[in-house]
Amino acid sequence: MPDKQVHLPLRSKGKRANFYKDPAVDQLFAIITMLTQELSVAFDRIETVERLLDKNGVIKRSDIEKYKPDAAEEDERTRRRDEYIGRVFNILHQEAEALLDS
Amino acid sequence: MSNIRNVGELVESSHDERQRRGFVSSFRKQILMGLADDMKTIYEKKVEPKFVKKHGRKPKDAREIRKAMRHEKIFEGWSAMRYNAQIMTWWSVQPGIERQLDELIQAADDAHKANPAGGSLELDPDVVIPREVTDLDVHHMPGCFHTEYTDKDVAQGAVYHYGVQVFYGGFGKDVKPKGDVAASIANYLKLAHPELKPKRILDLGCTTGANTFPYKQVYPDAEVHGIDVGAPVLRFGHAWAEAEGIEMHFHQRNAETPGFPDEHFDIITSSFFFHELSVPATKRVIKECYRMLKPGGIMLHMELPPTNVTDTYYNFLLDWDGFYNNEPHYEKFRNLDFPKMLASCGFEKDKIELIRIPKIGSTPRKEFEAVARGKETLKRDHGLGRVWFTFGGWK
Repeated sequence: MPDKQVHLPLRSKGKRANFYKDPAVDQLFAIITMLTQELSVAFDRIETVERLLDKNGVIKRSDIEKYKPDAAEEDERTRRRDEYIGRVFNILHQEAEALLDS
Repeated sequence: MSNIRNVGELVESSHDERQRRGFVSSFRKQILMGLADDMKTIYEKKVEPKFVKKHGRKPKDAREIRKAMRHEKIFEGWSAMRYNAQIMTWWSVQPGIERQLDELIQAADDAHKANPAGGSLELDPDVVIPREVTDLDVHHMPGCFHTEYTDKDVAQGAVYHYGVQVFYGGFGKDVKPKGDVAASIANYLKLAHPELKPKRILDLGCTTGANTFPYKQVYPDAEVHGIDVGAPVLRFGHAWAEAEGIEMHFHQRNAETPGFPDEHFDIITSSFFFHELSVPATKRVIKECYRMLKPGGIMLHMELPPTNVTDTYYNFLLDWDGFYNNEPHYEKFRNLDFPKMLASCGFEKDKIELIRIPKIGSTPRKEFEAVARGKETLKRDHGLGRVWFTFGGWK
């Protein structure tokens, strides 16, 4: 049994891949991606709070932690996330769209 | 059934951790579908015509495509998204595992002691862990398959098991990630070769055993063995198998020096294993397989399709992992001449097999059976991701 808390590493061993001429852009890309994820999670949390309020009127924190959306709501969340990511990263999609339009 | 806790289902997540995983699934879906289509559009409508104009021909291999695409905005953005999605996948499961590591270790130890399914776990602290595993974290999974942080540790087994589930999270309800490779190969062999009655089956680089279990389900009378160099994945796999009631035998051994007797196994298999090995190591392992195979037995490994059976653009997509996903041997492995390599390792030329097996989880049963029994030619292609490429041979 571990007698102290184990902390799993976040950095993977090996060379970090850079895709842009300036590695700082890769760093910014990572930061923005993580921020996008956290905002998505915040959306989800608000949605959970709203749904629980609709249903029960009052909520406890533990209600939020335990909350599991049903299949229909999960689909709705997935759709919202898909659209959200599509909007945030839309700039990457635009070139192909323009080529298909021309 | 015993009342041991199942390590494969034990980790609980907070609300936000679940939503983080939901995000990763959606994010991966957009990368692998929408933006991958965009990248192909840009290649076909812009990059390839430009290349043809300059060179008077199309790119001859994946490297030339990569060079032409390297500084396209779509390639940079798509790659950066894919790279970050990979890292986010592991990060999204680590906190819950950290929190419940004591419980996971306890459950694995209980499973080991109670052993309700009758499987076994053999660990060897002196096993030689190859540089492919120690020098860099394969798939950017921090800690890789082997790192141990505490006594009787299962953390990396759990990170792998739960992380792989995230990979398959957002691709619709018809996808069954659990062991599809092994389920496809085992069912195919049973249908195509009903005369094969295996007594012992060996899976190389089995990790937590998801692609080992199906052999026991398809061949319940066989002894099923899995080897891997990583102790945490083996402890986890054994505990998971016992909790699921599947008798499996896990061994911490290096596939280059597996140590089993000559002519010991009727089936020797692996999934997504060889492309992590150097080409010389691949040959050493195949020679060992031949030695351990019984006359009349078959060796059949699932792998990425070799370069010469897929189109150039698809090769460029596949080779991305070799360059950016910590899989340095990937491209060299795919460039191998498989029949030649197998022949140089002992297999007779007319007994070599290169089979494309339909994915059992996404192929209608009738079609799967017809293909396995040779009544229908396989129409599906690698590019559509509908088949598993396998290579090997009979002894």
